[in-house]
Amino acid sequence: MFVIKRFGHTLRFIGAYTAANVQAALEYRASFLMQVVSMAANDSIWLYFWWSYFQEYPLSHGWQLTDIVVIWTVSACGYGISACVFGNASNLATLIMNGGLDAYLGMPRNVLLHVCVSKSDPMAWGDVLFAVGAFLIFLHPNPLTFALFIVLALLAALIFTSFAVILCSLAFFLGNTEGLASQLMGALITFSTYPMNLFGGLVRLLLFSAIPAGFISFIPLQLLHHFSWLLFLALLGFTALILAFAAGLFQLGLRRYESGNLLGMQA
Amino acid sequence: MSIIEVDGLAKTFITRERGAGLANSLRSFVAPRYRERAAVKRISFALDAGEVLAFIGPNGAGKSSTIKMLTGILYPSAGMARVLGYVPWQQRRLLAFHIASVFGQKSQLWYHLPPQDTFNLLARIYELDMNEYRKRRDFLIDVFDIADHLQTPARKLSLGERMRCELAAALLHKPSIIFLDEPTIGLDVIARQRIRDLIGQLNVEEGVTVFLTSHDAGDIEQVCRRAIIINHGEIILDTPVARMKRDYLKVKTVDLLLEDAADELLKIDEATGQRRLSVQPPGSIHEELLDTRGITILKVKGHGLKLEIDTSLSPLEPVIAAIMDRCHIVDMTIADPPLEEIIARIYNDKNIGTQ
Amino acid sequence: MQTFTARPKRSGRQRFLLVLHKYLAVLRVSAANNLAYLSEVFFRAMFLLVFIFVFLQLWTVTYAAKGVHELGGYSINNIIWYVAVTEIIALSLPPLSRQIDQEVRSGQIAYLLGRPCNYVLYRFAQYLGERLVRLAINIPAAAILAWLFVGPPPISLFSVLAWLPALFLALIIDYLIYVAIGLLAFWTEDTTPFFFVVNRLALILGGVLAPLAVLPQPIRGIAEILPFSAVFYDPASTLIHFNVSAFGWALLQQALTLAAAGALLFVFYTFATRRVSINGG
Repeated sequence: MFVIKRFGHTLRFIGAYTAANVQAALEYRASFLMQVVSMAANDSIWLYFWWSYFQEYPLSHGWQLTDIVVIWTVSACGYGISACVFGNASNLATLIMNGGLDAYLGMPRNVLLHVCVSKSDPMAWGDVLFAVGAFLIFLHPNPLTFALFIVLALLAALIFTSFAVILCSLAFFLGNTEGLASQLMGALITFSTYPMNLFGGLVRLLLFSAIPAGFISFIPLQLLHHFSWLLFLALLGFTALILAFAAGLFQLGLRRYESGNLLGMQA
Repeated sequence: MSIIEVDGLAKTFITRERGAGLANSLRSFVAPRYRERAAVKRISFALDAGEVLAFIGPNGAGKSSTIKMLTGILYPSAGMARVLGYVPWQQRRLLAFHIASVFGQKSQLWYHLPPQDTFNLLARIYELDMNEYRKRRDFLIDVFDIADHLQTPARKLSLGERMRCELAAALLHKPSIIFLDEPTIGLDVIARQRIRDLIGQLNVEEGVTVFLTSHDAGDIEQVCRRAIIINHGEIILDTPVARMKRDYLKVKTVDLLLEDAADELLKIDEATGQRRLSVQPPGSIHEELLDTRGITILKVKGHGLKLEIDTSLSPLEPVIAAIMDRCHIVDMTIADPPLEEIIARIYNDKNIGTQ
Repeated sequence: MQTFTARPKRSGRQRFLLVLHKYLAVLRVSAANNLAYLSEVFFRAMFLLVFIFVFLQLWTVTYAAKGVHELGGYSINNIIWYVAVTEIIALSLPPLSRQIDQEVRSGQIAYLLGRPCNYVLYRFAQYLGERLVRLAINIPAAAILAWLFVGPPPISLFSVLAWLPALFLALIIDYLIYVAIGLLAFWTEDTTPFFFVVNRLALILGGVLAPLAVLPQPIRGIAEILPFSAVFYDPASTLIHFNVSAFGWALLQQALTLAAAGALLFVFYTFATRRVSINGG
């Protein structure tokens, strides 16, 4: 009972912040609209390109044309939600380096969660808009399938966020990892948008571990083709694992931060 | 009832030494040398509920480290502290519900949103009951007189208006202790006075314990009742402000711009060979000169005259009246000595005392 | 009283040299500035690694599926080198639009417009400095990676020589486009969306991902009509798949595109300066 109450509190907390972030973005209405539209347009252009590409050069091994839509929309939606709701996660390395974490430490909330939700990238709403739109248009899903899509996108968002947190938390130990973090994040996004058919054994291993693109788009693709509880649980399991790892690494680093002895930091 | 108890609190920072240049970088990688910096050296004090404390010291004295330890952001190398019964670095989140921090230079208000929205967000963060929150919010709006500014985006508010909103935001969750860091920095005289009054009012009416850090002597004099001075990580002085004023803040610097040449008011004292102020006390019939014990000439240039007056020996008013009697004063500035000077003086005195 | 404001008389040749030196100096300072970011090198290489790897997989699978060794005259080796070259150009783009945008918003542009040397040329020297440094970083990184993956490049001395002017023209065209976008800051709150969309379109329709002949329809049709290929496809195909007549046409297309972009920029610039004088900077 207590757990449910706490969970409710946390959701309300996240909701309040997301709302505030959207409000702040709406202060510049025209700009916000343009950003969202251009992002959606950008994604659409890419999808159109790949759609044409795979129409002209279809892949074998049971590859359907709509598969590219699924891959793109799930990863775009996941990334979009991650950047809208937990938009400050990628900023974590900078906050660690310049002591910005202090403000969050003084607040009565879980530090990691608070940091992640406190800022948002308004452009990413364009990704979400695009993803939902494209999924509806190309796949004509029934409500159940659409619900599954949303759930999978949410899981993908958690994986994206955890990935960013892990990379940025390395800043506690290694100094400024901001550049590295953004590069690897880019790699994750890139790999998430290509069909797994392209990659061989060793790379697939990589894509299901260190750069978990497989869990972001490939497994959801399988689940949307043929739902299997086993596979779904595996995905849930991995998401929980990467979340726990991210949170744990952050806590470890936070301990170090609180000692004030960080590399190259001014006391 | 002690609300803050600090016992032998100490903090030493250990950083890896890094030299410049490639050779040094390699060396520091292979055989690192560590440098220790003792920021806080075993300090102890206790604060009762409802006190208004000025926590002062020059930059690098260990102020921020102490405050960070008291708020749980930093954990100490040695010693113990309890704030509201909690050990800050162990029970930080629990403690956070009962304290508030306001930084003069960093804002808690969202830049693009009106303060109203930040207030609502804070209500969620501190898990306040909505009805209670609304009552509290309206009360604070009234006290701080910010009703007109609530709907304006924070970026459009003046510094004074923003500061009042910041304070109101900090007090929404009814904290028992509020840590204020340079709350009046950058504010004009009127705004500054207003903030000081508000802090004083809240302390009296609500019993909020105030822990203030400031470089402004005016803040200390008017708002605080007790002062702790820290320097080089050690507490140099822990005394009621009234006594500090009596003993150390009694010196004022008076900067005058006169109509006549400043030289005309001065005379060389044959005994010491030094220049001294030579004016008659106001309304005096005799030729007797003003007693200038406690008046030191700091600077003479053309029409400008800078004096340092020890007000315990020589009250300000007669001196100024005497000068005014003699010649027209074009401009005058009366200033407190800078905090660093007061502390230096205290340090000196303490040294002399222990010898 | 002597007047120091009168400019000394110089011969035409002397003035030319002075002007040249002035711009070279600007270029040198700008280049030095960018060399400071050595970590950039590493990250650029990382990105190229991922990109080239993914595209190699893509094309290998595609070629195998079609059961061919060549598409549009490009073998796998050719196409990977092609993509490497286009990426070298694409990645070397400095954040020009953002810089211009900031200069407009900060009002600094009013000050710069008043400088004796023409703002556009001055800015071009700066841009060239940045771009050349980035190119210098990208070329070895991309070349080494491509070589590792598919072997030596299909180039000849001739194609390299032909490539240079095509590349230079491409850089100028890019400059004109992105300055124009940056100048939109006079009229819009945020130029990022415009930059974003134009950049993406240029990427796809300009032939960064594949030579035009290989692009799927209907994209190929659209790309052949639009002038984006002047920036990527023309120089890259010149280098990788040199063909005299194609080279001639490419140069012509580039020249026309340059003229069009230049005209666009001129229009924007005129409106912009008018805006500055109305608002007083």
